[in-house]
Amino acid sequence: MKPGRISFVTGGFLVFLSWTLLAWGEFKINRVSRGITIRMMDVIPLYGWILMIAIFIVSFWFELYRPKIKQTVLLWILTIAPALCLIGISGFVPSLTEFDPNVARVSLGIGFYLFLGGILLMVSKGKGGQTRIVSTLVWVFVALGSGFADSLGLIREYNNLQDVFVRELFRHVTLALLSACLAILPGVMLGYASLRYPKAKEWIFGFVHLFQVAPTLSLLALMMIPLTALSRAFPFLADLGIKGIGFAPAFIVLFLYSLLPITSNTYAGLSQTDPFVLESATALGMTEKQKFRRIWFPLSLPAIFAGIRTAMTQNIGNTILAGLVGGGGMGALIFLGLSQSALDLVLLGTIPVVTMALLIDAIFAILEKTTIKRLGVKYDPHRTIG
Amino acid sequence: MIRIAQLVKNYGNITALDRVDLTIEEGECVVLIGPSGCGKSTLLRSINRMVQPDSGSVYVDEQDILNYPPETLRRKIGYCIQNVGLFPHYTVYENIAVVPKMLKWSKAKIEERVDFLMDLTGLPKEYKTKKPHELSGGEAQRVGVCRALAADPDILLMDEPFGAVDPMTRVKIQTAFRNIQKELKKTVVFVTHDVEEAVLLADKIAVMQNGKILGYDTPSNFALHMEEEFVRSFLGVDYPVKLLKRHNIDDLLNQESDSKLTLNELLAGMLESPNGGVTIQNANGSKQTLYFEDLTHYLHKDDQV
Amino acid sequence: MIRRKFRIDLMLTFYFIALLLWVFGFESFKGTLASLLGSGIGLVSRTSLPVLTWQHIQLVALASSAAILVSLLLGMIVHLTRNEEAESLVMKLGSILETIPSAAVIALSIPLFGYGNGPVLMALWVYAILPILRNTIVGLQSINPSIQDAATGIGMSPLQRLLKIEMPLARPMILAGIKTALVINISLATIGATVGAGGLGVPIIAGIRSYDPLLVLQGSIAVILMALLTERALRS
Repeated sequence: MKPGRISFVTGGFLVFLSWTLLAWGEFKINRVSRGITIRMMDVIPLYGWILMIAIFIVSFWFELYRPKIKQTVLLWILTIAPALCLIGISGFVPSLTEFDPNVARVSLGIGFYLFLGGILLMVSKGKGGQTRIVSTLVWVFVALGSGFADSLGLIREYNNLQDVFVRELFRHVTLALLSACLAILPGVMLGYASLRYPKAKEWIFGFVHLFQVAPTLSLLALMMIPLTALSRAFPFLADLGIKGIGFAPAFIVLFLYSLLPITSNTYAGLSQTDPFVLESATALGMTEKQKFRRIWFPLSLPAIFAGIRTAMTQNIGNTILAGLVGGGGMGALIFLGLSQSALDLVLLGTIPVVTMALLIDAIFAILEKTTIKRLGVKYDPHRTIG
Repeated sequence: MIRIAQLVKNYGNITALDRVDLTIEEGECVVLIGPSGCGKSTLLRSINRMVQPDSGSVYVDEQDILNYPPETLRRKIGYCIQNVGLFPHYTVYENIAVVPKMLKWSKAKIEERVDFLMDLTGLPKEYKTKKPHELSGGEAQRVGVCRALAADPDILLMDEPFGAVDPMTRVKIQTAFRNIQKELKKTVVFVTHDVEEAVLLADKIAVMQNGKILGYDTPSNFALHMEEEFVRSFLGVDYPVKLLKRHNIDDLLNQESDSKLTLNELLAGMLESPNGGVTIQNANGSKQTLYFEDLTHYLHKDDQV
Repeated sequence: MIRRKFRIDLMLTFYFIALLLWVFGFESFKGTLASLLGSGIGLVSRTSLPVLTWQHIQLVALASSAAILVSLLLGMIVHLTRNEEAESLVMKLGSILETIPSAAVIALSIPLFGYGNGPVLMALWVYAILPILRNTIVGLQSINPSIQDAATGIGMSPLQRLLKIEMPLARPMILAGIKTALVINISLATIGATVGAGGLGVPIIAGIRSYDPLLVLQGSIAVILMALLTERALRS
């Protein structure tokens, strides 16, 4: 089977599905009113419809009969489709209803998501597939920011809370990444200690493992108790911001969470280093310190980076819970939205988190690759999370 | 000069070294040979303290090796292993320069040394900036040898260094090593389980089994003791034939000839020829036919009558 | 030498007994706890702890069973097609889905299921599928090809080979995936309380919101023990 065909066909199927009677959006006069379903037909005018179906059919035909060269052009054209549909959806104007154009909003529906997902799958096929995926998403972001999609509920919420959004975004990133960074040194040391003192290994791993198994929310909540007691006993802590609520419990829990991936990956990296390389180092006359500093540790770096990468992407997601304990971040928006049934607000909180997680993951992937290349080491990226 | 006295090493209830005595003269290449588990690697690694014996002593130049820190000892001893163990994140140059750098040699001196060694082992200058993963097995092992020789140690320890290389490259690298040894005259202790390799490289062979040395002699002398059981089983019943590889026609004639055949190749030629004779051309142009008697005559020329 | 059939896992029994004690005994010793913490007995959740625990178990069990079913089927189908692209596509989609914060999946299911247990079940199901599916595929992938050869050579059809040879061989890996899924689910279910679901998240969230450490403890200890117990029980 030609490579990429499965993604293409599945994507096409999803797109086709989205064209059926599934809702592409909901039009609401205000935040809490019931919505009027927007269907595909309402989104783009007839000629747009015909054009899209035509491109669709042609690209499928290319898939089956023609060389891929011409097909990629079509795929590139398709990348802009979701963005355009987005603008189309937000431009929906219902007939027969009175509404205030500044308050009414449109929420995206499952039809749109299916369409987007389908297009993403379709364009991923073939050369430059990754770039096309990124391009599709970039177009969507452009559409969101362009001002043409302002009646989207998502944008309305953003406009309502712009300063808050930026502030909480900054808080979120800081909380997530700082706690992970702080855990690097202890994590690496614990990983090294596990290797050096095999008897301690069980205890160390058991300890860090505990935090991965225990539900985050419960840890977070439990952390509040001693912190509250502490801040009551030593009021200066409260002045510093270390209280039962706020960033402190979240920070500590996130820090503890970051320990396991870093510790276990450090251990894996150190223990998987080619023993013959280490033997040569000793035999050439290096002291233990020299061996560790010049040979053992540098060769374990890819593994350690993998651990840091896991810790950071994990934290970005887990920081959402900080919103429940007053730590702010995107979680505050998400849970606020949940409590008020304002799903666009939830979406507003979620999208940055997902984007950041994917971004950090990608950055670290590149970092890992370059390190591996420069070190000439083949590290098996076995995520050894217990 | 290496003197090993009553070395004992046990791993649990397995005796790896059973009161071993061995003396290796300066400039000698001694090959330790024996079946797996006979203790040859353990013995080798006791010399540079990679293995700590339970009792007994090792003297290098009449100094007990325990008298100074292991790192000091090891920097004076070259060490080559089968898996080479090149540092993957260092270039070829940096790999070779490791010990000289530790000994604080000047940059110019190091560069000169690296050039010399790479030349000696037949590595092209361009390889200096290559990384180990870009090298073939044979090339990597040559770098390993360079690295071992970098600080100009008197002693070189080699543990089946050519084992991981394919047979054709192995012959090349063995010959190269032999020539290097002729030139540098290092004290070499070499471990192998390949009799032919031992025959080619050794000044003396030590045959080991179960942690004991069964025989320690020149390769030629072993051929005189074919009646011994261990010679037959470890060196092979056809040992005298294997021994032929050590010499070539120039040795036999005691003069240069145009033919570069080793004696076992000469023997093969004799077997092929219907009358058992092989004609070769001397350096001065004259031709000569060699027969089997010439071969046996040469091999036994040093025997007491 | 007498061969013991069952080796009693000390930690496992400890977790189990501790959990039982906590869940059923909480009412009895909450007075002492309250005085230790220096807080009043305060708000008490309307539902008792055993009931909450049972709700939690139900949520996790339901979602996980559905996930196991789907994952195993999907994993087997993907493996049978022997299509590398399909496999990598499924894995990639899975890992992308994992990056999406669970709270978002809960939120996005609300339009479909409303508030309450519905969206939580949906999210739990999705997040349980990922590790089980991934481990099923990887487990099947990592089987020595010569074993598959041998099985075909004997005359087994691909389906027979899958069911009789490959799945049993992949079992440890699959079980590990199920273990991960269960632990994730137990954790995720706590968040369900924010959208009106039941379970042990209820007292935790209530405790956070009303600054009541007793409530927090009530739920947290129970759910932590449950998670530790499950993880330990499924450790191979």
